[in-house]
Amino acid sequence: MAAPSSDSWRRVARDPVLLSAILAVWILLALFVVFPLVELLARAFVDEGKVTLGPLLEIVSNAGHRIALANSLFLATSVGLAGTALGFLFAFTAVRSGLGRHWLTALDAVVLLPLVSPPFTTSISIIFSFGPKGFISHDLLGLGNVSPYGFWSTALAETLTYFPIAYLTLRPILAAIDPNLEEMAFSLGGSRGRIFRTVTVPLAVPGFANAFLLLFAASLADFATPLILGGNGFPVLPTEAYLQITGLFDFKGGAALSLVLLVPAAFVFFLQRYWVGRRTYVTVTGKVGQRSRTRALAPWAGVLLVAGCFAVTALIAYFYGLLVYASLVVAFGANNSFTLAHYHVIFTEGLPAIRDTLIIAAIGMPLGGFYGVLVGYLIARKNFPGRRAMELVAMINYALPGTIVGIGYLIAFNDPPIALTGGAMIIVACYVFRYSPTGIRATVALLQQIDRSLEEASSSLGAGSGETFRRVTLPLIASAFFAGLGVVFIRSMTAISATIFLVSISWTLITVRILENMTELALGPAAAFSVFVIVVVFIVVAALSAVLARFRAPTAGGAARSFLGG
Amino acid sequence: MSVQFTNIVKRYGTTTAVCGISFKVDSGTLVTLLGPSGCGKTTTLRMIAGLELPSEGRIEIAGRDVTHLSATQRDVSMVFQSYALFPHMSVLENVAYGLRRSGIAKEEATRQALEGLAQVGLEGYGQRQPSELSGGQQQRVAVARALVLKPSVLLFDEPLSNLDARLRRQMREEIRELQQRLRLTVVYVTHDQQEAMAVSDRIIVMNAGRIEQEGSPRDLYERPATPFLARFMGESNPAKGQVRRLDAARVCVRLGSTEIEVADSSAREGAATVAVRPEAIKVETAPGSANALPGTIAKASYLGTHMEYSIDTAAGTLFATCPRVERPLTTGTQVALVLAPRGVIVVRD
Repeated sequence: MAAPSSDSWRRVARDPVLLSAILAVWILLALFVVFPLVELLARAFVDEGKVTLGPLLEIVSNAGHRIALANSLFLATSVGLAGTALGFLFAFTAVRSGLGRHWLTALDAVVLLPLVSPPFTTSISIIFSFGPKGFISHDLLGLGNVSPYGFWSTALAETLTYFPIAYLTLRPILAAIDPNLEEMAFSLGGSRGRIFRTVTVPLAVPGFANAFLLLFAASLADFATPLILGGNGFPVLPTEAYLQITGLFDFKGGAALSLVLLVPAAFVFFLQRYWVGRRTYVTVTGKVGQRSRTRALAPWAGVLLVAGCFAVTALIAYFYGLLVYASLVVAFGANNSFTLAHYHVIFTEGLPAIRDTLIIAAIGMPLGGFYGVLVGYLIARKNFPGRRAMELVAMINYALPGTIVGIGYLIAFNDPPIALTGGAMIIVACYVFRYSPTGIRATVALLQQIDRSLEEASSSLGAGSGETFRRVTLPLIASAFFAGLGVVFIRSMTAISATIFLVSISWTLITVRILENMTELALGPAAAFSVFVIVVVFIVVAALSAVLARFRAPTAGGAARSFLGG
Repeated sequence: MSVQFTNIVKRYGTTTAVCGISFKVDSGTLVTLLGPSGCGKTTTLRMIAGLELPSEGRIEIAGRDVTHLSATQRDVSMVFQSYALFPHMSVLENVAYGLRRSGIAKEEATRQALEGLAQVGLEGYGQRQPSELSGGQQQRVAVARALVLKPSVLLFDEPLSNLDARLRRQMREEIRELQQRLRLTVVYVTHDQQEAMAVSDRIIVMNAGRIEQEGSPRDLYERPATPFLARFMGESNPAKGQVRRLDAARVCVRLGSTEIEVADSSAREGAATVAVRPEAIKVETAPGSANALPGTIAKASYLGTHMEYSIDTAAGTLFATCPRVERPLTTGTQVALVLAPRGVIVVRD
């Protein structure tokens, strides 16, 4: 396609529905993506009307902040490596070990559990297990006075939380490697180990790079885990920025600190999206050869893989079991007698948080779903000037670490002209623009599979562009719409990194209450809240899946997976 | 309801898909846009539909200037190559879609949709899903969906390309029959010369964004104006010959040692490219008649209904078809070729 010609201008100008949709999206993007980011940059770099690098230099010269930056990068690298290795173990097992379908489904369920859980779940269980009165450290190993805080526990919790991303990235790539390639190498006389090293792994290299970068970004942006498990000895950038603002009310310093995070985050984002994301050696040709059970896996290796997966799965299951158990006893470790008191607490004292969270999720869900489908449709189907720019801007809040987005919103919407701080709408807006890009991408992917002539037929039959969208396009991309709904809902229930800056006395969130409980060492209610969130998310996702299954859209399959994207 | 194109140009960025074409489609006729892929025929059709807007020029439908109107605003319906049936609607809902969009009440739309389905022979299929129909049936639903709107012009974009050969013949007969019964104005796009000849009142042959020639199927087959057309409209042998004018209506064409009198009012005297239709070559065993062209069989293939021969002659290697299969000639046989004047065409160089 050539550059947007005068043709596309004319066409847009003649279609009032399209024109107003494009304008509306741009106004929203300007207001909720560009404006907060500009305000954040201005706060950090403009002093009395002059641009200055002072705050940034101050941070770099501060030894404590330098350590936080180094810690952040070291943690992200460790989690990236460990998570990719773990994700590869699971993906390779799922694809090659020849496990039965039911086993694979069970494996999937356990692996994906961390992705739909509130952020502290693993952290709570690690404290229960490895704390001074921990189940493993104290009861089983007889160690006293162990600290569960620091690099190792943070890295463990993040690895277990984020390795499913690597699993989801690597599994389709490994599945698409043609077994014939390996069989060919086998018939040429290569040993199994040699084939694995020289054929299988090299073919998956772009997948490894992609998985590593995604994990690196996730860990870099993670705020909740290091806040709980990092302790004083292991400060990282997002927690430092948070403390700078909530502890010292130093907006300028917090803004500058969060922007230090922006550099590696942006670097990784562009590397992932424009370099690694487009390199793949595995192509889907539609030509399916004889898919004989591959022989490239030795029996003992298969057993080892399954055993490894089982061990990790058991650890995850143990952590979640512990969480449920801890929510049902008086004080885990000290008094293990059964009680429903914690649930009583969350449904009385904690009720406002539950109510607020559900209201915000309920408002954000349809808005986010519709916004995602609309933007995805415009990007995939309409040729208008500025289309690529819209695609990029719509992705910004999704790619930025939550800390940056949260501080940006806090600064931008604190004062008139648009004072939203303290209300519910600022939290809703934050969720919608941060988590709808999953819906946008799902919509774009689905639309690429739907023949354009369907929409042309509709307009040729006399339907306007709004009507065509509503009656033809929307029903066909319903699965992307519901995937978008699902993601916005899940994140509304579980996110904290951005919204921690946006809660107020009148509007608070379950995740924030969990954090408060943890800092007050009220671990029982924290566990009960977590269990509640997991149950609600599970019910809603199951309901959405059931709705989706009723749609006879041609490509409804595969949408379930996109629930978990991001 | 005629369609009139005046100096239409369509550019995409720097490439020009259609370079200044003008033509007219008369009311109640079926006109085919024929040409190889990439010749601009589909772009032209989409400009009639309003799915593409021309960069320059003027389009009129039924005497009204529609150049800048969108597809929605034009009284034109299109049948797509892929049928483009809405997969989330039943057959009846598909056919009623356009009626409902033009503001017709539900009962009336349903009644007209059922009528449309009856017209294409699909009574009782209304409650099915498009995916439950065969290719030919889906094609008919697509036709019914476009037809019920009673559009000024009905457009077909390669409607038969997804069907197998047998069904293709049947469907093209049905489309032609429907068009004549309802006196529809139809513009039809195809790259298949036989299909074009079977359905059309007039054919517009396009090549590289321009109109190469237009006329009735017979005109185009018997009097192709250019070597491209001679090749494209059916098979033909390009041969080098000498033209000598006999009178205003006839020329004498010399090919090797043979001379043929051909009806032609425009060819110039001198060396010319001559297209010889394979079915116009009568193959006889040598020596044959006095005015025959001598040759040697280079290749012979048996195709059941006829024989195909490649024959080396003084005018070049000629490809001939011969209905006599009971006594085939073998490679190396000396033959004499008699050329029927109707299958010898002088083309411009």
